[in-house]
Amino acid sequence: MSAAPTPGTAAGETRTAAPRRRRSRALTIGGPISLRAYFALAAAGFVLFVLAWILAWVFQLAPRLLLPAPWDVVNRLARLAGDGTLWSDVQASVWRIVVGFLIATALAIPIGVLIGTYRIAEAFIEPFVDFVRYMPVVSFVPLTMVWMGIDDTQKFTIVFIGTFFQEVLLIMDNTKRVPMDFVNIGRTLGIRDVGILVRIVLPSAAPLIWDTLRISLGWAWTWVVVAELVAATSGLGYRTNVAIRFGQMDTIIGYLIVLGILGLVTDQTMKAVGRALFRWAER
Amino acid sequence: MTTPRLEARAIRKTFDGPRPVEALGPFSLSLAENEFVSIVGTSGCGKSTLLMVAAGLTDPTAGEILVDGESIAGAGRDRGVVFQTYTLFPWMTARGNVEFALRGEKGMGAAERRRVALENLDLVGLSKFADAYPRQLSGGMKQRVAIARALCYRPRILLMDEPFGALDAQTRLLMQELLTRIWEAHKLTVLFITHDVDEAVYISDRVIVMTNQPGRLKEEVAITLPRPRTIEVQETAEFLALRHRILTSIRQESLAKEPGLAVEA
Repeated sequence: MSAAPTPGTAAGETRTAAPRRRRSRALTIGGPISLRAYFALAAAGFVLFVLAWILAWVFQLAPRLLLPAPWDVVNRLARLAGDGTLWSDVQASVWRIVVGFLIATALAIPIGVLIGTYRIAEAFIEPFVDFVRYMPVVSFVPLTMVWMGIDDTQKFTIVFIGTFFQEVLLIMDNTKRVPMDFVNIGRTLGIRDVGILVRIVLPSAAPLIWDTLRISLGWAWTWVVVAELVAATSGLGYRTNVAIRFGQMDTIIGYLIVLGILGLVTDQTMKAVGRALFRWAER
Repeated sequence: MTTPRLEARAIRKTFDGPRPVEALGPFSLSLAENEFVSIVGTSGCGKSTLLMVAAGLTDPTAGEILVDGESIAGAGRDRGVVFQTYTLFPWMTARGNVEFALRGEKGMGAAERRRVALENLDLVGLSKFADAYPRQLSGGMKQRVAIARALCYRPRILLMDEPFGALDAQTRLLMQELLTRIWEAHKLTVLFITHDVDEAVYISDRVIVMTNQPGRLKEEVAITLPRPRTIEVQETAEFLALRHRILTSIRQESLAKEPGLAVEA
């Protein structure tokens, strides 16, 4: 290749072909990378984080009492896992999320679809939902405690408040993306409105709705821990609160990591299930 | 005189707003049974609005649409529609999409639905793709399935809104041939909206040119080209004369819409 004259150059003229440096494709916007490179980079991110942590510990950027070493945290988690504390805490929190989230979702889907399709429903419900959505969920924690104590019902309620109003608005948006001509086809086939909603609008919006659920599930973790931090007798947030009182930094950090892992696992599971359910939607 | 299959009586459509837009009419038209009528006009002339009104998907501000002499109230299975946008449901296979349209047929069992769906997919040459999902089909194939879906329940009229508008020129030509073949073999009443004059002349019995906003009937041209028509007809003098006449008619409207574009001869 290098010896061949460049097309377009006059005969006899030689060009010292300064090899044009090409930037790697991976460094261009939207450039592709291999699956292996992806996982290697992802792992590197985590390794870097642990490394930074160890360095901070070695050089005592914070007093050791406030910043324990990674292995101290792992040891503590192993102990809490060994005596069953960790498992029962996870169970308590997961249960609260599952119930609160399912109730919120079961109501948010029909309401979201309705306000995404009927302007009357939108006018009636959307402004109010928007109004509630701007109320900080944390402010509901003391209120719900006064109303219903600190048992599971109060936790369900907090998770519900934290996810329902967001879900309704997002699902409304998901529904509005269903092409109007899909609805029109249903009409020309003589299908009544309820049938159009159930058999056309809902399945059409389903992949987007699933994504909405995945994102709201992430928030549900936050809200359950917030509620447990304030007042609870079990759960991940409760254990963290106890640890604060006793200055157990290893437990606090360990539970934070557990929360991160649980979130990652839930998210990836939701993504995988979504891919399996909605194969037809891939590009 | 026999009752027209489809009749539009003094249809008007005005879109409300701070500055109301008179989109259509008054516009009247009647289609005889088994007639293939195309409507051409500049973009925004209201031809798609006319189709939406005829389909019963938009209410006219005034006037009425009659099918076999009966006034329509909304959309219905007596009129099949093919849109320009791809409207196959992506979560169903080609056959599933056609079968979906057949679910409204009273007393038709699953086996019969399947048989009729395959028969109609065969009509558009896609029986081999019955189990393919829309994302696996090309644009032309999707529109063929859409045609099969609109035909399978035997509506009395087929309404088509620039169904080939999103396709490349080569595919469009093949689709026109296919539609001509189907029409000649099965006889259907078709109202066809397009902005492609060649397409309109090639496939129609009659072409109607609309004026620019509000859309009214400007000119009506009977297409006397012999049938069965093959693509070669497009090179005959008769075709070219008809084409020229319609293009000239539309051009006047386009120039009125886009002032300053007229080239002085």
